[in-house]
Amino acid sequence: MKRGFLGLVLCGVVVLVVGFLLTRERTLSSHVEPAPELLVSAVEKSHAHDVAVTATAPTLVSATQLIGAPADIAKAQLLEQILKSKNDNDPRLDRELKVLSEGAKEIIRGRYAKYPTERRNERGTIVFLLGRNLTSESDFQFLHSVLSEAPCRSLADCKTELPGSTASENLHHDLGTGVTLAYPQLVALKAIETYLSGTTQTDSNTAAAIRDLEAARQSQISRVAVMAEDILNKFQHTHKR
Amino acid sequence: MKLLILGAILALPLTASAYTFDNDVPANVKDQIVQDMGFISSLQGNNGTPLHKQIFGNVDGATYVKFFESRVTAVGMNDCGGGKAVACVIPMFDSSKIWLTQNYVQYSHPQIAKMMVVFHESRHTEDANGNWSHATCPTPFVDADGKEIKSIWTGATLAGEPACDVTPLGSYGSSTIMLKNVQKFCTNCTDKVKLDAGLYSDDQYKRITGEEAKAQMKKDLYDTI
Repeated sequence: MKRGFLGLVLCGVVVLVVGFLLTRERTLSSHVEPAPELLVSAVEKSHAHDVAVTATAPTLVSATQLIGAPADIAKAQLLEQILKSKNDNDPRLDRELKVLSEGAKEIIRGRYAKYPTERRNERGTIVFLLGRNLTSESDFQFLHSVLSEAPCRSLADCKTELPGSTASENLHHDLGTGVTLAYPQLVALKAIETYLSGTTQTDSNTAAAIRDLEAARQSQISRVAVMAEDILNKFQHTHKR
Repeated sequence: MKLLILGAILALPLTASAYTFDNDVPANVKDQIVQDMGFISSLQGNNGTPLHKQIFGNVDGATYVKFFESRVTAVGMNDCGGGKAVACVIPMFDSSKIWLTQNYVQYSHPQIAKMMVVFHESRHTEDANGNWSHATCPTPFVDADGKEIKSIWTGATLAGEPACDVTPLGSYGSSTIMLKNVQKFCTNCTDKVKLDAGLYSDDQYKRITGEEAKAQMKKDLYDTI
């Protein structure tokens, strides 16, 4: 009898523990995955410092709105899957997304602006992919627009420089922050550098590349201005300025 | 019985890593660092510069994980004193524990950049090496272009602040060496990861002061293949 009672108590405890764990899992999961639309609108609309608290990777508005050839749409959708996964080492970046058609590039360019400016890695990844496919004037116009963006002042809210600790012992913690703030622009410059180092240049595209660099040299973002100047200096002997 | 098995399965993720997570580490933060460490553990390279071999070995995921797990035994949550940091080590609390902030998942850093911070901080766990305390940046503190190097957070000059290293083996040096080697030798990294590794390592290299250390790293990282 005693054993039966103990068994019942034990079962009850197990059920309670498992129930607690399941509830905990559900609670945490619901915290992790807020509605994508809410993420986008929240980040875009608000300057409140706690906006990013709930923001993980913002998912774009419905991909079914994409217009274009099925193969191009598929590439854009694949890109968004990869960005959402936060896996920068997804080999499909170098396979399925290595070569982009004009149609795919157009769709992906359109998606760039859909990402809040604070999503530096997502934006930079898009620039990276488009920057590997510099074949037309519109490609360089896109890079020009990226290089002309207003400086991102903080990773929580690009429009506002947030106050932070100025204590000496904390200064070393801003590891790489400056690079991330300028990430899409730096990736754009690297793409131009690679283009100018390559063998597939055309006169008009090379001229556009140089124009982009000349403009970037005037950037308010010092890292961008310095890198643009360095690239210009590197190619000044081989290209007219 | 089924319930017991289910309970055991649910408990598995909590014990999968060599390091433990505090109960207050949110699931999304935990999931993200587990994913990021998974990324690091997947790297393949089979080569490395002499300094990289001295600190880590060859570029190899298992080597990096061993480096991390032999130093970090626990992961917790902290604001790391500022509100903008991604991670930190606080030796006076626990020198083998790494603290993450909410920024680890909120800020959109490339994956290799987050790992650079994590490995930078893991170097600070080494009590035997004085936690690789940072050196005072020189005054004036300027980059190769003669521009003053400032804190991206405050705009204040870093001259005179403890935000530099005078050895290649400290936190800035070791994480710079790690990323530059990933850029050079990783055989299964995407072109994006290698580009990112180059961008961030080149930036970190600027925090190395002291002519001997800079020359040593330049020879190791930039004058070879």
